Amino acid sequence: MIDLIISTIENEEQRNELAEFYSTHRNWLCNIAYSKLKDRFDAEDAVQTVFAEIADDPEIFFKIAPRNRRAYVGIIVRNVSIEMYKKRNKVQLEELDEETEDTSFSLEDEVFDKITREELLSFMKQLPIEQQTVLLLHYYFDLTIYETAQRLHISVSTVNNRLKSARGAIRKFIDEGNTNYV
Amino acid sequence: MCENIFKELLGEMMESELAEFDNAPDRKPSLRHRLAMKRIFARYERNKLKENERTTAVELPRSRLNFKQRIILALVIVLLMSFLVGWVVVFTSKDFHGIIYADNTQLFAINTENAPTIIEYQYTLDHVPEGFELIKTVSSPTFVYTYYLNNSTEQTIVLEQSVKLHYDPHYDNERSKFDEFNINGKTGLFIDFSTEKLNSSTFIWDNGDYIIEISLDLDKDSAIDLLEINNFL
Repeated sequence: MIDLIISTIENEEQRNELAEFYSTHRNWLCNIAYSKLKDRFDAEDAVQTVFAEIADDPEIFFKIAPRNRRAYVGIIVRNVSIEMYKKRNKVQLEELDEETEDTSFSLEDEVFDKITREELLSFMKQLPIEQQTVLLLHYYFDLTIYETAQRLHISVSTVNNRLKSARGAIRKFIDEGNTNYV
Repeated sequence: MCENIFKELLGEMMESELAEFDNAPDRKPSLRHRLAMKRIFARYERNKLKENERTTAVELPRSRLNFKQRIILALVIVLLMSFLVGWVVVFTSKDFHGIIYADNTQLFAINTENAPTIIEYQYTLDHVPEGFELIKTVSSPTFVYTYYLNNSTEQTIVLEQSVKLHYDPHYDNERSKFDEFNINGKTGLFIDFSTEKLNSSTFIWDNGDYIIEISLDLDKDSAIDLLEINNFL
């Protein structure tokens, strides 16, 4: 009986954790969505969509370290808002057909012999939002390719393509020593 | 170490982009949004309970409780939880059961067997009263929300379609009560939210596959006419 009561209490705590998380960050999340959609009700719909998905499949959300959950949900809300905006305005996203398997990526310390850290950061901020989002989910939040695809409602090959394009652009920027981008 | 540099840069990129929303103006959530979030948290709670039940089902044999003991245990827990969260009354009708709280009622579908688990066919209103136009449709794999508006009178019609397994909304019926309707043999629930200034009613029924809910700023007779024209009844 103690086990049952404890499991019920634990469940209650976790439920409150999600509701409390929403209550703490609602305004911030709605503003992220509003910045893309420019419509209050659409922004609320975007936030609802994200929380509905978390409610249905909370595993990925609770896998993220608590200190990173706010940023994670912010990124997902931004992505959902962009998708809603595209749907609303019938903008089609062009996808590449190529696929890639190897997603490992690292930067050598020597990178900063060619360019400064600020220059690289500034370049990364100029990458398309779709590429930034997959980079963040896969490399920063440590989601697998499959989890990233699942969370963004896109195919695994699309995730791979976006990662490949982003990594290629960063590599090119580094190799050319920033000369073509200044 | 090398991967860490990239991760650090990604973290900085993300923080600087999200920071611009830190001091954004406070926006009051709409009633529709608050109710929707209430549903989402209830759904989350139910999903977690299901997960707990699954875990408990595996663990129970180890506790060597027989069926009778488990029933007694469940009753004790229900009573204990009822005591903790306040008085709870159970609501039942032909196709729905629910829980009546102090200021709202949460409904669930009874017959969920063999019902689709995703929206396979999306219903719309083929006929709407003059002046109404389709404003937007919001859909997910388990839910469709279709919003019609009469711009000149600001009357609205909202058609919602839910898969039965995920149907668990809260209805603010503090000032209204559920009535059962039976029109042309079709049965369901009706709530009249009308005030002196505004007609507003909601019809909810189980059409066999989905739970259909339609909320209209129309009087009851006009609402029934509309449902009949659209072959919903």
